[in-house]
Amino acid sequence: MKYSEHDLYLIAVASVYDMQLHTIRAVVRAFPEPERLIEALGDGSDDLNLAGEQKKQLLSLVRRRREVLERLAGYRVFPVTMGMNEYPRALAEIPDPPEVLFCKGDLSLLNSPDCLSVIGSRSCTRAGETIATRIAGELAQAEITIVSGMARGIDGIAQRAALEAGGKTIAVLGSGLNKIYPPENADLFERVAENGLLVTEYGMNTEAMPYHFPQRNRIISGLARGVLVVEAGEKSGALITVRCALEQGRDVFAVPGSVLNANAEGTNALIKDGAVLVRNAEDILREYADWAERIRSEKTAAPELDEEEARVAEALKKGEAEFDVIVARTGIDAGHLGVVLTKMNLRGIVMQSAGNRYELCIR
Amino acid sequence: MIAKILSFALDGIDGYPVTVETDIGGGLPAFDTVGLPDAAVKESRDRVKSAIKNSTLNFPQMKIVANLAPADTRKEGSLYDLPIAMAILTATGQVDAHATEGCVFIGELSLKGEIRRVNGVLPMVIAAASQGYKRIVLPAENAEEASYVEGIEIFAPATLIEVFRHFAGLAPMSPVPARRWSDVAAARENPAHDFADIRGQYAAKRAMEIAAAGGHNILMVGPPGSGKTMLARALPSILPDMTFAEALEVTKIHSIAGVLSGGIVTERPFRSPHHTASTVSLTGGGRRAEPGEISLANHGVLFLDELPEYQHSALEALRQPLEDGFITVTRVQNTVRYPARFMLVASMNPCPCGHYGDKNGQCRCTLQQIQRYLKKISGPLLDRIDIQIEVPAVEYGEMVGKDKSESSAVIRERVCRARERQLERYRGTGLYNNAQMDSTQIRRWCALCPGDEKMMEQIFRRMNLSARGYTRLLKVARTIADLAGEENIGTEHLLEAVQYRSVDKKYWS
Repeated sequence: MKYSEHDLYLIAVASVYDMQLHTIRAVVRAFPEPERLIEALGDGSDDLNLAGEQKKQLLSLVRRRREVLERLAGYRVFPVTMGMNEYPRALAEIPDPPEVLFCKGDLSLLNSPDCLSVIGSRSCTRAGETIATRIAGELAQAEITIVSGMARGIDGIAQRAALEAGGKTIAVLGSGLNKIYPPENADLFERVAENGLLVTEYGMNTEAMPYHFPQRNRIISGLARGVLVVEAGEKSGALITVRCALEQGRDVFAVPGSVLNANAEGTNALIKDGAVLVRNAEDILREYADWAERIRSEKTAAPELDEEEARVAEALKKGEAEFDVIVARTGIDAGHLGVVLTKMNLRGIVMQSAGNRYELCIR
Repeated sequence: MIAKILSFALDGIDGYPVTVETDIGGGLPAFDTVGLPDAAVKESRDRVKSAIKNSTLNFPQMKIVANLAPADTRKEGSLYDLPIAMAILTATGQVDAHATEGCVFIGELSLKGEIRRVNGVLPMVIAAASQGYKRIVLPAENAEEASYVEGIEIFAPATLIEVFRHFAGLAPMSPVPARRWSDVAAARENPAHDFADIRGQYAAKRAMEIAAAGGHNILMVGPPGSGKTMLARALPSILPDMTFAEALEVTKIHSIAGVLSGGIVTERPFRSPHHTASTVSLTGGGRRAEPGEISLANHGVLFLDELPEYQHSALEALRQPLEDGFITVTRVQNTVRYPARFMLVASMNPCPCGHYGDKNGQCRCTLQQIQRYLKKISGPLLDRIDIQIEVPAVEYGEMVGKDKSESSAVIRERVCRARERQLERYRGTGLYNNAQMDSTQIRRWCALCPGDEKMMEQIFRRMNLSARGYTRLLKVARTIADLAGEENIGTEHLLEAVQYRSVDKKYWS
């Protein structure tokens, strides 16, 4: 990666604790030359609207801007500025793109053309968990990179599912890369660093602040072709991401829910306003010509079933059914049916869900 | 004048002899009891005095001292009324001292002179018989429970005057006819809850059968109204009949706790304490170190409905007895060990609202709420529950007419055969069933062929099962093999056993 003098300057400025986009821009606009800034900060004639601590840090970082890069590399963190080739082209075209992105992990994902954001409520239901896991897993198998915020609830669940399915994921954080938030997703942080990409516009030690997250959301939508909302209440933060997506000209997808479910109010409203209704990954993949080709064709290649398995498959043709209903339909006794279903589950022919229900994964 | 009468006291579930001595002598008329009596024993003075007087016998207007020896153990309850009365009658010469020699007396007196039932008679009779006593007098209402004990003559009079007449040689009583266990065992009634009456629930019934066969504890997760309680109540009906030794032990405990109705307990106990139950009421204890629900459920079923609603401390207290099969209750006065070898059957909702996993998706609990709810049950407790299943509410509309539910008797037949196989295998190891195996024993009795071991590895990876669920799965597979009459655990048994672990993955992963 090649950094110009100006890149180094930008990176040093962005590395200051809790620097917002507008402040970075203000600093660089007021002092296009780093030497000017050092002078002004030195004699106190800078006029910058910054806290004393921040000014001190700014001065020392800009002075030693080369070392900043080395220090970041020590954490295996690589900053990317808007002027660089690595900078995501998708992000460059949105309003207010971040000046600097601190990245950790697989940098090639930054310009992956196959990104989709999967977001939703932090306090999701079990049903939401199942749906997010299923759809994100299917998308990952179609080699779609899942972009999300690594938050509690749907975000983290979708990203885990993507990794579980052997896919890639990008986590956009609202804090510095040294401050993992939320703490319960620390394991996910490590896994994404291994098998995906962590991205943030905040300096290494910046704590997560409530006002960071709405800002962060524009990057989540900006990196992707579209945004899928799995569960969202009436005032969910996920709806902020949707607003960003619309401003950026991204597509919006939503999973419907019961009208009685408060956690589906947001998504149902989105569908009413014209979002694409999504029941499974296929509903998304069909929207794009190049993705539609990836809809799994294996489904047509029916696996070989023995006589009992065929009876079970027949019993499940009409849709998912409880274990007991399968017993009644097939006449196989409960003990032996357990054996048959476990076998079919292992081969990926059926899937088990809560309530001891099974459904067919083949057509 | 001094007189000695034999009686018994209880230490835990065992009886030990107590000598009631009375001395009647000069001085101002008084009546004292010594030998660590509790309030009920002290009050017996007034009952004894009235009972003797109202039986048209003579109560001496002298100084009376009654001593309960050994004098250093606490004497509790009202069962010393009769022995004290007999000691006074003997000391005053109304009854010949030779006549009562070697005879044990137990019973509470009413003011009129009737003999009332007391708790804990059976363990005392057993102890008396085993220590070589030949005759015992006890309340008529306690006659039935005592009548199964061999080698001792039992007299069960209704009033004090009958006892007096017998020992004064005026009207001898005839002993209570001995009852034989085989007669009652044969006359057992059909169970009140039969598996044939439960529609559908094939998966749950099969899990129950396996649990019964291997002595495994079982947890049912399901929405309200799915039939969890009905299944639990029917479980005793597929358990093997109790042996006489088991029945005696159960009756002993029930006798001590005073919950015995009629004679010997022939049905395996089914105890379902409410979820507001305190730790002490579950484990036993209190002022008199009485047996708790887990001991009352000994050799039977302890059903805990709505498991997460129980007090955390109460659930944690179950861990030790679940492992050891007994509980040691320590109180200031004494330490008592009660047997507590029970099958734990627990049920719970899948989430706070109860509807998670319902077909129509009514559940609106958030993940955090569900996790908080599930976390109320600790890992170590879950570790002791081998079988965990989901019991969904199923609409059986389409199954009407197709139902062919087996009766409990048929299932019990299979369970008994599997248990016999286990007894045969574990002869001399101190084990009774598969659930009791520890990790060394699992390695010995649950060996898998290399191919199956590989398959299990694959299953655990694919299905995201926890490693500590592995030993439990092996135990359950062992029981499934026993039900099938197989020497070794095969692929089929393992694959079925996976079914009884899937809850683990979905709820506690």
